[in-house]
Amino acid sequence: MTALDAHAAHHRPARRAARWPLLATLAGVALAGCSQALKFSKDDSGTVLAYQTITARNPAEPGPFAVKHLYYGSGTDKRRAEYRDSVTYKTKTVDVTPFASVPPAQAGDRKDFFGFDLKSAPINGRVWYPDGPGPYPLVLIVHGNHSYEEFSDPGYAYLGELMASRGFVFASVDENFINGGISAENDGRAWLMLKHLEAWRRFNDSSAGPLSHRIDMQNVVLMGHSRGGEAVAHAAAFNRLKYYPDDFRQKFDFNFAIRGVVAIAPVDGQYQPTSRLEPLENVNYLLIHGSHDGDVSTFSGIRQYERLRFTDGQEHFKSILYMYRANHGQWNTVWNNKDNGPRSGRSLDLRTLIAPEDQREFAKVVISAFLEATLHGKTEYLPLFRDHRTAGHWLPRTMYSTRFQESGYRPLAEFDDDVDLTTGEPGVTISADSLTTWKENVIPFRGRGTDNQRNNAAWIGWNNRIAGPDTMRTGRPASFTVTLSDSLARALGITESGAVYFSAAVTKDRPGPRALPRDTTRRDTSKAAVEARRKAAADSARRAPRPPKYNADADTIPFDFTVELVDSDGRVARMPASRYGPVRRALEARIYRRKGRDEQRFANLFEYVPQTYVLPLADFAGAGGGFTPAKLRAIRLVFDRTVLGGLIVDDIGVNPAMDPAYLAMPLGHP
Amino acid sequence: MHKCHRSPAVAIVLSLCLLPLASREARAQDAGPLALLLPKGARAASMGNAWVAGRDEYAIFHNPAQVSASSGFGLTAALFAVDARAVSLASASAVGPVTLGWGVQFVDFSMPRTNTAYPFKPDALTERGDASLFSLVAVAAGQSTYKDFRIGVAAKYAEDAAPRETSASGLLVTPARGSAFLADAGVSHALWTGTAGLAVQNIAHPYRLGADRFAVPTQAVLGWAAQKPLGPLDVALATQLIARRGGWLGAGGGIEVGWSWIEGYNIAGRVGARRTESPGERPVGLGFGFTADRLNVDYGVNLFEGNTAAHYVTVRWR
Repeated sequence: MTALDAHAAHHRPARRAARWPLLATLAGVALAGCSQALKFSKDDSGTVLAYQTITARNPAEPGPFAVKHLYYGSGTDKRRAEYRDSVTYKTKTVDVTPFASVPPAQAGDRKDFFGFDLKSAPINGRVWYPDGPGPYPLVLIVHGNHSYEEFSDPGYAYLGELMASRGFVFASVDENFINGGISAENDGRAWLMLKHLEAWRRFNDSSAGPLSHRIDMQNVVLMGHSRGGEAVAHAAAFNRLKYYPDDFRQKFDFNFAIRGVVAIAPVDGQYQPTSRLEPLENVNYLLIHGSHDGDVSTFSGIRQYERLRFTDGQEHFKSILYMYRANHGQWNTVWNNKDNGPRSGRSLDLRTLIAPEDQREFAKVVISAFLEATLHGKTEYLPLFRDHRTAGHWLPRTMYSTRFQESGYRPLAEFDDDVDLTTGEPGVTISADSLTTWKENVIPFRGRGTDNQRNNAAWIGWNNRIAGPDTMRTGRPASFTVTLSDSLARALGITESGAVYFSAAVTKDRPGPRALPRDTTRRDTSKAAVEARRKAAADSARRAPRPPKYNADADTIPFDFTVELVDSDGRVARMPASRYGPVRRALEARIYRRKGRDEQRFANLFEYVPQTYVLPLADFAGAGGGFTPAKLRAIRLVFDRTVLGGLIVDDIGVNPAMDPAYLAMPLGHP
Repeated sequence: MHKCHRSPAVAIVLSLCLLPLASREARAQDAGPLALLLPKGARAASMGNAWVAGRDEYAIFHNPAQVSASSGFGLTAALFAVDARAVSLASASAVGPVTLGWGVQFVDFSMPRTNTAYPFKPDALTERGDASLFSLVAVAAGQSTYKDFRIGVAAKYAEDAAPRETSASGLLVTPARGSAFLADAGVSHALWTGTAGLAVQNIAHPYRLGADRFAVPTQAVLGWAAQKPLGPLDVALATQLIARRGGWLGAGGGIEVGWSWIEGYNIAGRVGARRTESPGERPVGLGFGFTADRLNVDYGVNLFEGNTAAHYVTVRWR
């Protein structure tokens, strides 16, 4: 060995050792470099949820009843002992094939697994019921699509226990046999719900058994999750039909007293009767959805909410509660955080999710409150659906948006009917002052593609700054006004117990400063004077500082604007919008782990969920200035509290004489 | 259901793995060209070359029914023991209801001019000599689905250059070429939780090289492949049985264990075994792979007697 070789041999292990940190660093970069950092919208829950004005008992707390359990079903289930050995009520199987079909490639495996096919589908359910004489209202819940090998129906036990203790008979329906790789089957899921109701009618009418005459079949609510959320809307619609819309040979004769529908993170439009989205009417309706839904990432249920109409003159309401950091699966204890299947952790950033207990606590609060209001007539919970801040101490600490409407609402401007920016409903004119953006357009979904909320709104933007070197110089605040004609105002018969409605969502629009008003006075038009003015304008433009590039993270200025109501005598009353609901920038949701995946998948990192503001006219009448609600002639949004911004405005309307129950428990001056 | 389905699958895998070890003495009949007998991609090479139910661009060499329309391509460079190299290319894309694919493998090797033992076996690639030779196979295939059965056909061209004596003295030895046009047909279908594939390969008359005629390795291959999650891991199995004209039976199988820490990225280790074509080959293959979104890099090694090995590196872009 030469001296050189010896030297090299001496240093070889050292060199090898030096390689390891380098390799480890490279491996670390490869492993971690492609994931994105945790990032949320600024949390305002400390402020928004600081109040609790509803004084009733927390609806998420157990009620006075002891809870009993039973199962009903085929009694022959191959997979589950509870539906084989423990059924209290045996049910006949039904043929679902007119409504749902299994792809031939799956048929054999499915039949092997379940022991039956869709021609003999079981009517299975697990029941929680109060230990008492009744009769109690009936609530059915149905799961959505999931692996058919992992049964979804036990996942709502936390709701079953709670609701039964509060005096509801609660059943979780087994539709696992149409889960898995089946599509366009939501009509089948809906029809099965109605077949379950038929079974319940028999249980109730039977002369023996623990549920005999203990069910209040005049008070029924259907709940569904995911595809089940769409299915229950179809069920509510099928319930009133004589024939299956796609085939008259399937006769319907259900006519159950379905009082309400609860949709949990529903899909929409997977089944379209007669090739249109299912119309829904005359039920109370609650929709909950999470911003971090890794399965139904597009908030398609909002279309279901929009389509619901109240036409029968009865009292109804509908509400959305959109929950920040909630996912798709944690409403169901079986599904949990596996929105993308068993390997969800690879694709979804599970760190972003709210704790599952908190997500379910929210479900318990709002669903229980909805059922209490709908089925037990407990109106003290109604304000929660108008403005979630009334229950700030019940709700887990995160951010929410509320959408609300009740059957007394009368639209003034919904922006869906024509292409004239200046007109609303008959008798309504719309005007704007100093806006930089004013258009009507459809509200898009977060996801890419052509699908949208199928709901038009007014898109407005403003910047009260005046262009030029003086960055502090502002002009008159921009405004957007809806004016009622005298005849319309008279026809509406607005009273002091009435309320004004509108819904709004903050956009990312950041308009530039508005131009100086044109000087219309006579000018020196000599060549020298024109040249001097041109030069002065050029100098001014050169000296003007460039507006900084918009950085949403740094944008921490609270967003707000003023609502002015004007009566026919010209008297004006003003209130900040934030008094009637949170006004905040759109809630950004990054769902995926891979850096850039959200941007690739979604056109926006947020969903437009307009917040509804319900403004009691009595507040304005009491604000001084002599405003008279009965003489309401104009609703004006004045953008005097945030210098620049953009807003989607929709569903501007009034309730001439609103049920005080909805307006109870106001927040005062948060 | 799962229990009753898993048992035969496990039994098949075990039997296929043990078969090559049980019958090492029986060797394949003489057949060529050489390129028809070699693995084409690193993944298959490390999994017992059991790719009749495998699915990627390189499946075109094993079963035209399994041609995958990934709209990408694969490039494999192989380095054999001493002085032999191979390059394989494969690609496929969908055209309406049909998937069309093509593939080619070119093997460049050398051999002593005195070695006239033709047809060559894969272990001939460990030799080194003064005669520069080659072997190639090119394939074009079409695949479509009928009633949940994937059906494919392929046309192949294969050619060998081999040293053949041409002078009376025996000192002047020049390569001679022999080529064949061949056909493959295959079918595959979902079976249990995986895919079963059946292919009839290398359908052709014997080809001429110099004054002699040589058989092609016409064979029927039946196999099954599946992928299943196992805890945090992704496990893939591939197995196959070969029945070659002339009575030679072969088998192969392999297992791949993959782990993905984030969507789109994956590392995998592989091991496989097969009944070899020639005595100089060892039955075991090993490999690993790395996937980053559309890029897939695989390495595989097949061992030979005498501490030599064939190394395969495949780069696939989808």
